[in-house]
Amino acid sequence: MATTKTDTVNTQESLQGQFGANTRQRNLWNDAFRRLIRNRLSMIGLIIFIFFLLIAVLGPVIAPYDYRVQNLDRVAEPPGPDHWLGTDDLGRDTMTRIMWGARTAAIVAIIATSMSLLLGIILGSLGAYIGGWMDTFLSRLIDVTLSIPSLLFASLIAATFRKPVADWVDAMYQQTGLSIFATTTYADLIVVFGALAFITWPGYARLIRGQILSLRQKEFVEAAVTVGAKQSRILMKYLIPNALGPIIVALTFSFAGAIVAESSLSFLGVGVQPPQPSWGNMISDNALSWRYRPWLVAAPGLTIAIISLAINFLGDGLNDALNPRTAIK
Amino acid sequence: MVRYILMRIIAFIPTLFVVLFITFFLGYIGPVDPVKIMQQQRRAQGVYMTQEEVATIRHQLGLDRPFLEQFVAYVNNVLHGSFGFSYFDYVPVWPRIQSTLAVSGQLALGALAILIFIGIPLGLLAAKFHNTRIDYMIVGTSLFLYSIPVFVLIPMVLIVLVLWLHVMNVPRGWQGIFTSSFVLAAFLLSLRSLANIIRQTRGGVLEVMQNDYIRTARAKGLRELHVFTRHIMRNSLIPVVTVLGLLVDDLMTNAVFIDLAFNLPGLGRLFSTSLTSRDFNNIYGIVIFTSVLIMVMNLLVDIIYPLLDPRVVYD
Repeated sequence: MATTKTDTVNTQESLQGQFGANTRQRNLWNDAFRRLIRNRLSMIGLIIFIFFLLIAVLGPVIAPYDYRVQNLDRVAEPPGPDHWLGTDDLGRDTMTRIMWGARTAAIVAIIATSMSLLLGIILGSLGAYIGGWMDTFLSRLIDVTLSIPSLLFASLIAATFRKPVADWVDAMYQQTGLSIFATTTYADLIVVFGALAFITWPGYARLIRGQILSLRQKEFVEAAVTVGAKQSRILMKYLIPNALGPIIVALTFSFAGAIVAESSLSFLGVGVQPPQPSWGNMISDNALSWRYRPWLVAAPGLTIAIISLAINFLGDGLNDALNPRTAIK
Repeated sequence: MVRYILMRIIAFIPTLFVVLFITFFLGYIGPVDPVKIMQQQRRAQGVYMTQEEVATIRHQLGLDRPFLEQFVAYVNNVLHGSFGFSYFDYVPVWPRIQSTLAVSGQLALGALAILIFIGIPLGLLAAKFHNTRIDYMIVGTSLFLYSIPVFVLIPMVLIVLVLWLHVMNVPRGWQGIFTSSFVLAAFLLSLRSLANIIRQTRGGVLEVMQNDYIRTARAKGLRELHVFTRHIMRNSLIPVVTVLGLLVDDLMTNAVFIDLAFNLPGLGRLFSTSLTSRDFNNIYGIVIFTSVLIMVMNLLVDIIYPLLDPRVVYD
């Protein structure tokens, strides 16, 4: 621990020497950032993660083919110069579909985790602030939701709401004629967001409730109250910065969780429906041909594995960087 | 303690009631109308039902009654040990779930054995040699196995074991427990929890080792083995027990994919086939059954805590 301290001080001094005094202040975020970039595995994770987001944004533009177009002359080809990751049983380019799948995965992961975080923040802080019967009720609700098996619950929700949401989207199309309502893709995505948010919110709610309850009793918050700091200042300067670390870490891990969960639902046939590419339905489409055309399963499989591993490494590094007291060295 | 357990078992009732309500509500608003399915099946056989017949069947199944009445009837059935019957082949749900339990139970016990006899020792090993190459290897592998969904891992493992190494045939169906396919299935089933248990054991041991009483134990000349087994192990097992609470959920998630891939007649496959055919009564049955398992497991965890740590006292 002592060596780490001198290290940081040295870096800080040299930086100050370079950029003049007080360009870099020592605060939570700078320290955390330094600790993070020193962790090699998390930096690799971060780079892969950024690459994944870039592909998700740019993939459809830079993809070499159309994800729907079948080339029936070149069905089920192994990886080669024209099709870097081969083609599938219908003659579609695997790499193109993986790039589009990245977009699906990113959309689901971002929206589903945001929805679940929002739900968790609202319900968790409601329980902690109001207390009493509200807290009891919400805690019981969390217990109940956590005692329902997660994958089973998510697929039950997805299976139930698929048709009503599809009908609704269809009705919207009839009424408005907007092109975004013309396909069922958005209905699929809405269903998957809902299902994933519904099984993951209790984790956040419990985390946020615990953070608020424990931080409010800490001496430094009491001290701030004693010297007459305003509510808003206590919230902005003491509560949020201290609660943010664990939440960011949880967010990172559940981002990976959401990508895996989306592909699980698509694998089971209740997630994103073909022809819209998702890594999960790419695996389930080709699951039976693993023996003869292993690359068809290996390509999307390895993609999920690498992305999920990268995000988990990043999460681990963030955990060490943001919560140095709980991290085990 | 007995009082506490009794209270917890009584607390099962409202939780279970809410679980039943949620699943039943999902089914009520869900897209599947059993009478329509029946009509389609009859039509396929060349029999056309009249409006009166449809109304009669609807009445017999109680589907014309209001939501709350239907729900009360369903709860009443569940309390009498019946989850209704499948609307597709009219087989009662509960006997069907029971018929999968032998296979799933054996697999789950296999996975539990792997967790206890491989997971905990690996965690201890990683802690013993922490920040060495052994530690990095164990922790890295476990994080690797934790990150990858099992339906990705299955084909990859099969590619390696069957196509490259030729050590086994493609596992198909249930072949008893002394086979390579059982070992592979149990191992894959345990993976998520295995990674968790290794992490928790390692973390627990490292945290306990920093305590003063460990230094005291060493200072008074206790042999390292005794320090480890008497002082470190017992205290570091507390977080490991917490993993047991997540066990059923993790096993069930993996079982869905493993049963499907290896064609095992277990609970997971019953779930995925029911999901594909939208056989909702089967789905509710499995969801509720697994929820009860999770609740029982959580109760067990809470009973084990005070046995390991006398400071944990329930009033």
